Amino acid sequence: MASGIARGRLAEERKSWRKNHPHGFVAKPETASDGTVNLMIWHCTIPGKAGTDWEGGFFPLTLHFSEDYPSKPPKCKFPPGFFHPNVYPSGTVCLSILNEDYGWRPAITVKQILVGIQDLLDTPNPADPAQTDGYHLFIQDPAEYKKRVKSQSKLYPPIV
Amino acid sequence: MSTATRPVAGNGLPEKAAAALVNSFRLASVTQRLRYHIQPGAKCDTKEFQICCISLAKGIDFAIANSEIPKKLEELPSLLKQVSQHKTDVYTKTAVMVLLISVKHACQLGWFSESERQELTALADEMKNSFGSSGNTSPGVKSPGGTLSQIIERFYPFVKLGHVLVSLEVKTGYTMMAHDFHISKKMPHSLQERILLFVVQTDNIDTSACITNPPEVSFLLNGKMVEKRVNITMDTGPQLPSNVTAILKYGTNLLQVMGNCKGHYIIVIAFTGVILPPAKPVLKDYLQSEVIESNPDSDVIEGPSRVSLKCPISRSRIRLPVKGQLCKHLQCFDFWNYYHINMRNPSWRCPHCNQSVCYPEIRLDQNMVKILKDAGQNAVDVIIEASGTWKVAKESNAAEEPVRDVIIHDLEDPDSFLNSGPVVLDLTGDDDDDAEMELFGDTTKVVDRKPSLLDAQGQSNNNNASKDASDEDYSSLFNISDVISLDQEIIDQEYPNLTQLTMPQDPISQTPSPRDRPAPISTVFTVPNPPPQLSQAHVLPVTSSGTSYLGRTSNQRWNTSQAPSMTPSLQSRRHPVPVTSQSPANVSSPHIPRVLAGQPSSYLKRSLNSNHVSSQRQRPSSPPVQSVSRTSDLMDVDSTTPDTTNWLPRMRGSLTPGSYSPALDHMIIRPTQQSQTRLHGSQPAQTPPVQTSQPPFSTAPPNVTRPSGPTAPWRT
Repeated sequence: MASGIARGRLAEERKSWRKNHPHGFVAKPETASDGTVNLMIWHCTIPGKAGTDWEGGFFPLTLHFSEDYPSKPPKCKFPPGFFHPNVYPSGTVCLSILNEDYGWRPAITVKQILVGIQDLLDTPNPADPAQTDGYHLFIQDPAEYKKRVKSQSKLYPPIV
Repeated sequence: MSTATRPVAGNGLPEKAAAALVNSFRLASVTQRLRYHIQPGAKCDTKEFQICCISLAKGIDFAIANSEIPKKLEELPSLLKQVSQHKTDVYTKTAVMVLLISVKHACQLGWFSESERQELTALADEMKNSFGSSGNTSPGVKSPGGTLSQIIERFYPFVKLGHVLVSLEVKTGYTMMAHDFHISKKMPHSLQERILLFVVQTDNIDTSACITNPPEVSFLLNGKMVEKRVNITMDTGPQLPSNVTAILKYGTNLLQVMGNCKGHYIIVIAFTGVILPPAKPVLKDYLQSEVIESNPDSDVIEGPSRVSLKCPISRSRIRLPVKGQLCKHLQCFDFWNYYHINMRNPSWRCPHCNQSVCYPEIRLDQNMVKILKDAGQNAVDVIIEASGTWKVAKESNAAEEPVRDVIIHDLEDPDSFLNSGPVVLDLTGDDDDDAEMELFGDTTKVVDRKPSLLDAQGQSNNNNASKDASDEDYSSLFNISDVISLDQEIIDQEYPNLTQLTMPQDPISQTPSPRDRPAPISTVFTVPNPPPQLSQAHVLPVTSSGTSYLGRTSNQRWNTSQAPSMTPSLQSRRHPVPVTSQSPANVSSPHIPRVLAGQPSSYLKRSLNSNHVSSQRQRPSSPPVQSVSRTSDLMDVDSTTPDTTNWLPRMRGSLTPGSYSPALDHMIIRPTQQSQTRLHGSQPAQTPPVQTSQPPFSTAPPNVTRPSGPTAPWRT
């Protein structure tokens, strides 16, 4: 019954995304080699904001939805080892709106999640570190931090 | 074997008679065997003695469940009294206890004379109480009355309460309780009914926070862990009642509640049916006046507001537009969608504003009913004027600049947006969530389990290999059936620990000093040696008859005497998943326990560490300040001392550029101080509980300490 809600909602999210989505972003459900679509996993791309050190990077992000969605938020993961103070070494993004017990509400859309994560890229929250590397440099060595961000952005060129 | 007990329509009677006959034969032979054991000078085979006790208990249970009173009971009381003197070791004691609580129920059904009844009941209670005091608990009345029905009305409207088996009240404080109860085939219930365990905090039942687990209390039934309600698999957030049908049986059952209750709880086990969502729900109308009265600032939202006709849950058109009686926004959601998501995850919060909206607080918005009727099927949004007039919004309006659109129209409803100034998003999150991801991969499992600092630890090394290893430890631990079906060898090894486990604990030992923390000792249960014993020990000591090691062993040795009736037909009928270890097919092969025993104890150590902390009532007022000058320090803080004060993301950062300023630098160097500062500054209401009693189950506290927490980040 309720699992119908998760898939139904995701189908609507997909529809709405296709109709209109922010420039430079990509979000689509996983498609198996036989063409079947798995609505529970979405492969997305988040563009780095223009005018920031993240510009030019198109960062791959995977959203994992559960049957309890939208009661519970999806897990959002960058590639493991992604450099950012609020991203765990596993790649999981640490953000309040993605936390069931804090900011998450069923009304938050996929679009809002992705835009929220794009904002997070250039405005990390030093109060809530999720990885040592990024946090340490952000605090102690802003120049090196900048360098790392820029080189990472080059690692993820636009997919043509 | 199970076919013998399964009542078959038509020829049920002869089978039942045959089963009864075999059972009486079993009772006789086991009684005889026991008599041999207790005669003076008998060479005592402890294991066989235990098996006899369990087997006799099963025989009695079987007779009770079928409402039979066996013949030749005259000698039983004197035999039982002698048997109860055999308390040579904990396992024997356990077996005797299992036997005696079965006898107790037999007494209540008039098996014995009045004087013997009193004597045996006293004996059974004395025995049982040595496994847990009843000091903190008081048996509730047979019908749990007002509180539970209120809870069901508010948070479980889909549950129909049937016959109540257990109703207990637990007061604040340390609890170590064993409660026996009896399920008879004669009890009024239909086969569709499930037996559910309800745990409700009664101090405040206004919001769904009252149906969260007491964070430091574990529940066991017949020695088996109740999923999501034991310390190693504890789930946070509002809980559905646990379906415990599969771990109960006809006859005598035993409930154990152990841990530190912070608040008053009621514990109810009852038969229940399911109520499907009503096709035509009876709902009160939403009153606009409530908004105006309760919101003096409402003049701020004057002007047209764009409102979606889509349900924020399903993103499809609302069928029955409802909102909470206290909701101030115009946006509605769909009644049935709301009902369904709360059947899975009973948080009962408005999907739009996150305010608590339990079932009776749902209101029908007649205004929106009209709009939905009058606006065309293609209308997506409407513009509602302050005067109440409305028009369908043009599609193109919605497609303005995406980010702005998101923030203004979707992310925040108009009034809170205008009231709140700049849009501030929390950048919180927690390692727990991540740990789940790492450990389970499958997101559907993820939501159920909240492991503690495992993730942070794995990441501190940034070492995927080590993480994978712990992953394995972990998943095997969660294979509860493996944990339960243990070899006798292991039981014997673990045995010394059980003495401590089964004794009521001194509450003082639950408050270790921070210095003790690295030594993984005192958990809620005070296990002297942390490794795998924990789970086993919890499971084993008071396994009631029939479902655990003794039963299995006896199956191997006593095939003939057990053959007819060991599996209560309830199980074979109702539960496709066999939970007993009686059928040889279900007996775990010996290698499983060995794997468990030989396993690296890394996970458990950590889990113990964290439990240990979670059992602390007081967090040290000034956690050790760790300077983050070396890379490893940051993580070390987290992994070696599961002190999540530094780690827990209770603060917010702004998503608007420029939120980071050099002014923060001095704070950042020492996360501990910083987090305190930030906490004080940004969320004063939650500060004290967060700092003093933050368990490493980082998602647990918000539900406990600030029921309305989730709304906060958006409001401030």
